[in-house]
Amino acid sequence: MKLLAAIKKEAILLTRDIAGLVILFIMPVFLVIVVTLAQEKTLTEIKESKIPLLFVDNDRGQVGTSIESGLAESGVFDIIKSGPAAALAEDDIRDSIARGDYQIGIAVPAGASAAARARARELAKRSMADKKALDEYFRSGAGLSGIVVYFDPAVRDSYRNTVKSSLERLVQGVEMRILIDNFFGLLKAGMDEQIRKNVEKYGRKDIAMEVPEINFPWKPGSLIDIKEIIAREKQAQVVPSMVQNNVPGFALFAMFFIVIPLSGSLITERGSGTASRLRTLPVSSLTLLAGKIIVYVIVCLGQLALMIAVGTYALPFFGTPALVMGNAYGALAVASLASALAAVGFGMVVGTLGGTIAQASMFGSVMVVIMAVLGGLMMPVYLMPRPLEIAGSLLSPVRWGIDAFLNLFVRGGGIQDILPHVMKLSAFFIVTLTVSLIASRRRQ
Amino acid sequence: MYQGDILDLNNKLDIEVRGLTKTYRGSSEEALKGISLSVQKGEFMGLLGPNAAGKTTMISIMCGLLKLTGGEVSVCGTDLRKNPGAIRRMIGLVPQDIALYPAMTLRENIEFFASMHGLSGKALKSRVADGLAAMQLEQHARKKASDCSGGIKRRANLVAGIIHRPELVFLDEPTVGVDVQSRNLIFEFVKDINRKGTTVVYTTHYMEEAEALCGRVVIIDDGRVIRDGAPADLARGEGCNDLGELFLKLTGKKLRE
Repeated sequence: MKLLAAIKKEAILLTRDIAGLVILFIMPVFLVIVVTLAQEKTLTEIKESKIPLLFVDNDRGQVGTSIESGLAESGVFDIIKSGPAAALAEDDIRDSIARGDYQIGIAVPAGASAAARARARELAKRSMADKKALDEYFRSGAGLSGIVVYFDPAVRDSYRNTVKSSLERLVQGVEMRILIDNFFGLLKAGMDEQIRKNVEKYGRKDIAMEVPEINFPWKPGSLIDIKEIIAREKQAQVVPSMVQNNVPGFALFAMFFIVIPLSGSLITERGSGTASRLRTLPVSSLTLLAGKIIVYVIVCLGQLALMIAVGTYALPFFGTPALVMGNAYGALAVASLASALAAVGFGMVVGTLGGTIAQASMFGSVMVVIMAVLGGLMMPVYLMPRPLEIAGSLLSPVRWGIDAFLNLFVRGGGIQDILPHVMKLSAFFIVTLTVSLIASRRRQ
Repeated sequence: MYQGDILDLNNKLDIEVRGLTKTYRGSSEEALKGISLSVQKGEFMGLLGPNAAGKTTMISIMCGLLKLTGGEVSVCGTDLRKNPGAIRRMIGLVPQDIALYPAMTLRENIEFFASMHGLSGKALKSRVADGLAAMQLEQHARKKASDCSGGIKRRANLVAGIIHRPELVFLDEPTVGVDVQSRNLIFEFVKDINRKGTTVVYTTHYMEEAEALCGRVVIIDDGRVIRDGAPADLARGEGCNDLGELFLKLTGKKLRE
């Protein structure tokens, strides 16, 4: 009964702050629409540090070596070729990327160079025969060698396209070199043969030769096919898009802004004397706290539900794909609750330690923005300088929440995939709650 | 100065304080320097003193809001050192600040505090209605506290503090900033609950209030009790016409803050 009364009191106080509620709900909706639309059109990403790239070269020939050296020379990638114990296998790459440990992986299969050379020889031969036969061979794709590039589904489209086009340029360079070697080798052999015949027939070399019609046998992908795979742990039917990334990201961002009304409520209570009166009442501080926590957690969950509704129903009106939540509803509920508790814990600790409402609001909102940046909301974490990425992973509950939601929404994961993040969020809630209680007692 | 070991709890006493000291964290000076006093059940006691004399510190300790540094305090038979939470059902606090939620209506505020005392259903509604009626607040009950005048808020603040009909009530300057009409209403109400058996500890800076209401006053200054007795007796004993004159004689005219 007392808990119900405490809940009712908090709900009344919260709903009377209409402006605060409007900010809490409208601001993230506005942000998610504007930023998603803007990012959907962006084709380039800022690269400030080397991007880790897993690389397996089972070919150990011209193709594998050229691609590896080309990637290394670009200065953009940090090429990782071995795992903790041994050289990486192709399965290691897929698994690491499906888990979200890395964002890109490339596997060059065994025999890729030999296959490319064989196809180049055949193409060169047919280029000097008839065009129809050459076109048929192009179309058939016979003997085409392939390399596989794995992407984390959480990687943004624009970034994936940039990496793919860099890789295509490198592959085209390799194709061109192999083809030229074979083509000119064949051309030279043909000319030598013609000269030999001329010497035999006319006793001299300097006679005009009969040169056959030549179609230079190259177009992109004529020797090496690039296969793109979005690595997932489950067979999820989720198509990566900015919507899948941004909806959970901005929902988390909004949830942590609960710091403003919650810290304001705590500080007002303390300053007005109601907190003192409450401490003289026969009710435990845990009951009063539970009243606050329950109401503000419900608000956070409401924010998340609204953002999911916007992603599912509103954003498609602007031409983006609709949000796909997957089927792991239980895991979604757990991640949502853990994120909401962490957000409320943050609000409580700021409200307990903050001296004034202005102080708590300023500190709280700046901290939320910092945690969101570290969480990869403004810039993908894989593009951040390493120290920032580590700081985000260790310190930002927004990052833990975003990671949990990305595992569900983008990587098609389940409860076991979000458990580490959920545990961090829960621990954050327990720590902030404990600090709040201790700080509150110390004030007495 | 208190020298005993264990309080001899007398069931006729609502408050028993012996050798009470209090030093705030980070301060080297004692705010209370060995105060001893007792309050009988049903007594109306005024706790007087200039600013920073230690009145609010003392009330805060007796309500369980502050921990005491030394000495012993028993409230309603409970040793505050051992079980400060146990007194909460028996006491009521009307703090100097308006301890109401500004965004809630007066009725919502009073209902909330009544709920926290375990009242519910019809009993709660009836108790709240009685409280509002006693302070003539019915027509303002649906107004948010933030929209009410100072006098109305003071009256609601009083109702919120006694809604559970406590055995002992602490009134910390309950008439600050109110008009004469509201003040009279508050006086009548407080006298009435005292007549019905509630022990009242009342702090005020208005000496005429203390003279009119309190059967006994304790004057403290610089963390010590400097006088304790009936207002008229104390004034007469010092050759003063009234309590105000006595107060200035004892505490001086020098500003304290």
